[in-house]
Amino acid sequence: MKDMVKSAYRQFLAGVEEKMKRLLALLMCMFLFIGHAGAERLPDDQLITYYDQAVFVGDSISELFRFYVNGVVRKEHPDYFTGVKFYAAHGYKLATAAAPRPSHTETNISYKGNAVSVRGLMERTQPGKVFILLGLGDRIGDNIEKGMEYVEAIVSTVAEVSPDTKVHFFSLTPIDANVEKKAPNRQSKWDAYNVALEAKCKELGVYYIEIAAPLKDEKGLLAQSLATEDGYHLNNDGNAIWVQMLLEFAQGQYDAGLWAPAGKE
Amino acid sequence: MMKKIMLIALSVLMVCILTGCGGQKEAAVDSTADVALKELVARHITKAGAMIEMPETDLEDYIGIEPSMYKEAVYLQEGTLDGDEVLVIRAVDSKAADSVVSCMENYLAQRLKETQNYLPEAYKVLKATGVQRKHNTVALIVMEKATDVTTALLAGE
Repeated sequence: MKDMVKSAYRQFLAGVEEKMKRLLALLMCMFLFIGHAGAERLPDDQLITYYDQAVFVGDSISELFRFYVNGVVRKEHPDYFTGVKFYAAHGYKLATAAAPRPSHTETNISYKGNAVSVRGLMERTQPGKVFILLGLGDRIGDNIEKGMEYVEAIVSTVAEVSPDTKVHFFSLTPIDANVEKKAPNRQSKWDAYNVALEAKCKELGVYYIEIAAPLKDEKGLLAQSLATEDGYHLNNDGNAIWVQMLLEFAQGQYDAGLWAPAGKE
Repeated sequence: MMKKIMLIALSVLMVCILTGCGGQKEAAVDSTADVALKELVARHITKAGAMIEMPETDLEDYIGIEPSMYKEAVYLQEGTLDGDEVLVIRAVDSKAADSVVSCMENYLAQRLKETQNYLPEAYKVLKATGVQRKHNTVALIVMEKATDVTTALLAGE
């Protein structure tokens, strides 16, 4: 009798052990799957779809990026940046973008030939995503506090007139050694602005995209090989890095479960 | 008498030849109505082939020139901050051409405002150009000697 009980008990334990083993194996597989999905590197042609139908707002830096996308990227990949619109103008300022109406004195962006504010642009376009790179024209590094007020105003405006639009701010791009020589400490002010901008974006629940770091040389300035002659703007190599950073950002959004390309939802 | 008649006839003939009776002067410029606009631009602007062909949607999105206004359009950019631009539109009719002229003039005004304080060299080039029209074809070309290039391009339109 004792032996029978012992044997039955041993069988029971073995069964439980087997079930536990299977459960453990199943759990491990699940974790591996979830972990693998998050770490999966998507191909570029899927990552770039994060930017489909997006609106980019900016100054001459974005204007040159627009030329790069049309003249270089789309030649090789005609389906990249599908439906993307670039509303950019030389000298367009963060202050002007934050204002409720287009400026009578400063440069404005144009929508269908008419000067518009960001408010007006968002009302008319209602994009799924907006990407903003502004501040150089304002020399906003000299007044970071003011810059943060403008950022808040823009975020607030977009939330009001186009609440489904996801807002993204780019870091200010760096300047090269020649510009820094003529305007000492400007880069350190840009850097401080970018730190503040990142924190502000987090506070406001919008996205910050770091594109400055990979453009810098060992001195923390815009690498000359990536700059145009004036030392402010990016040449094609610099813009190629910008595209890479966009792909990395999209990968990050996918890894965080915040976005997935069509077919992977 | 016969001599007088012959002399008069010869004089009339000479006058006709000298004044170009029969529209010979107009026939000197070949019509380009059947030439594709892209081809026409390439004939007059040698660097056109190296310029960036901007999306047609940009014409409406940024400049306000709607697809319903034109039959053909060419929009090229050199791709630099102070680069050349070529904007040529064959409008569907005269009324549409009026609208295209207005849009291009607005666009030029915007570019002048942008460049005045930031890109003085580009500003000078822009200041020296203007929107030109022949019949229903409208052009805004931004480059050195733009007026001459535009006049030649539109000559057969």
